[in-house]
Amino acid sequence: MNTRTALIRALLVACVLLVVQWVLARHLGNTDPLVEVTRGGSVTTVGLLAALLTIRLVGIFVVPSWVVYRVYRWVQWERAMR
Amino acid sequence: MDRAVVLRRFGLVAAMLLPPLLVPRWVCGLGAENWFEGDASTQRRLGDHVAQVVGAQKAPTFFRTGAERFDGQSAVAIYQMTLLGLGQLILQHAELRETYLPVMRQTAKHLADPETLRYAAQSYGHHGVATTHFVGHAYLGYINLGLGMLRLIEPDMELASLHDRITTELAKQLDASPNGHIETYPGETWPPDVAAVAGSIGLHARATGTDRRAMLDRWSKRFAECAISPSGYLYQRLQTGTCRPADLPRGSGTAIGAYFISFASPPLAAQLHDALHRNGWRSFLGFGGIREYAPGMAGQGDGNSGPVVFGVSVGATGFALASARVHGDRELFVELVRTATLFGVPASSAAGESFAAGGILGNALLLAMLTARAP
Repeated sequence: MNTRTALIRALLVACVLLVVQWVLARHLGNTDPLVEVTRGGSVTTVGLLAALLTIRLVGIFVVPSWVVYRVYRWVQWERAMR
Repeated sequence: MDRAVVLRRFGLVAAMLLPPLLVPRWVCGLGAENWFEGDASTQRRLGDHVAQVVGAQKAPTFFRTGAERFDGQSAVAIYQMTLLGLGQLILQHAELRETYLPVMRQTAKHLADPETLRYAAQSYGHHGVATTHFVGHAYLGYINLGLGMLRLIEPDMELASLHDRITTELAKQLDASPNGHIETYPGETWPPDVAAVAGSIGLHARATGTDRRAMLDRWSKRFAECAISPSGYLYQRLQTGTCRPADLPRGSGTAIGAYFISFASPPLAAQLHDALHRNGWRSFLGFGGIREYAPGMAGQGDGNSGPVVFGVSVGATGFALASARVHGDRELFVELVRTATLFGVPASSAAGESFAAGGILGNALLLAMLTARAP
């Protein structure tokens, strides 16, 4: 797999994370996660909230660095090809 | 190793560290200035969502967790915060009056319905709303604050006489109390609830043109001497009839207290906000939070604070938004909005925009906190 493909995959993963976050957020919008967490309620809602926050934190804090890394590798690969 | 390779790798690490330092604070801070400045479209999206959900509510309570006290108190909080939030929106953008006023009227009726907080009638044997004279009943401060906001918008509201009666009784009790406190329920004295009582008296005074400045000045001195800890935080709970703490000083109670008291005694509210700013504010990568416990103290939190993570609580952080905006503390407000945006997860809906992690309780609270304004 060349680095350009890897970069495209990184961007695709970022897009998938955004879509999954949107779907989870829409679903949680019909529940009351704050109350469920505070009162120890539905395991499904608390689990979905945990998944949503994990995806959000990874998407915001980790993915941008990962994309930078893939760009770096792409540039390196382009140089090596020349 | 080749020096160029070392430099390149160092550059790569530096380049990879930059995004976490810059991207999250930028992404989560996009709407923060708009909230602070009171941008109508930003505020209205959340207002529309809350108005639609609360306006569609038929039953008096929203939750059936099996704990009647929690179900009733959370319903009172949702109705009260909806009234405060929508009222603040109307005060800032007069053109929204006709849009939100019908929902506010209906919400006030739910709020004042004794069925909403049946726990109060169970603990006292009667509900304060349905009683002419009462002792204690500080939970009425929450109900009375909601009614006060509607009264400010609509002076001849249907529930005006109830609003007058509750205010008169609460003011009488507060003025007569040697330590500035009254009980919420038998044997329970909570300074943040008393702050709501005082705030509701101040808001009634503004809405009706009644002069209660002398009474509120007397109260604020007694309250501060009794309920404010050396850290500047409010004690969460006192032993009834005394100034002996029954719980530690807490950020959640201090932050919500600062907001409520801003309607009654701006200098005391500023004093509490100063304590939050100096002793409670924690900052990381541009995200702000408020300590639940004052420096040197620790605990697990409870239903009032919500989860406590690294010493910062959801409740204290969310409530401090209001205090920061009321006191023009832009830097703290922006950092707190970033945190609320990161963990609240804004999501659009047919009705507007809401925080997916908040549910209706969290969204009503955030509406009131994000639109709070200086009296």
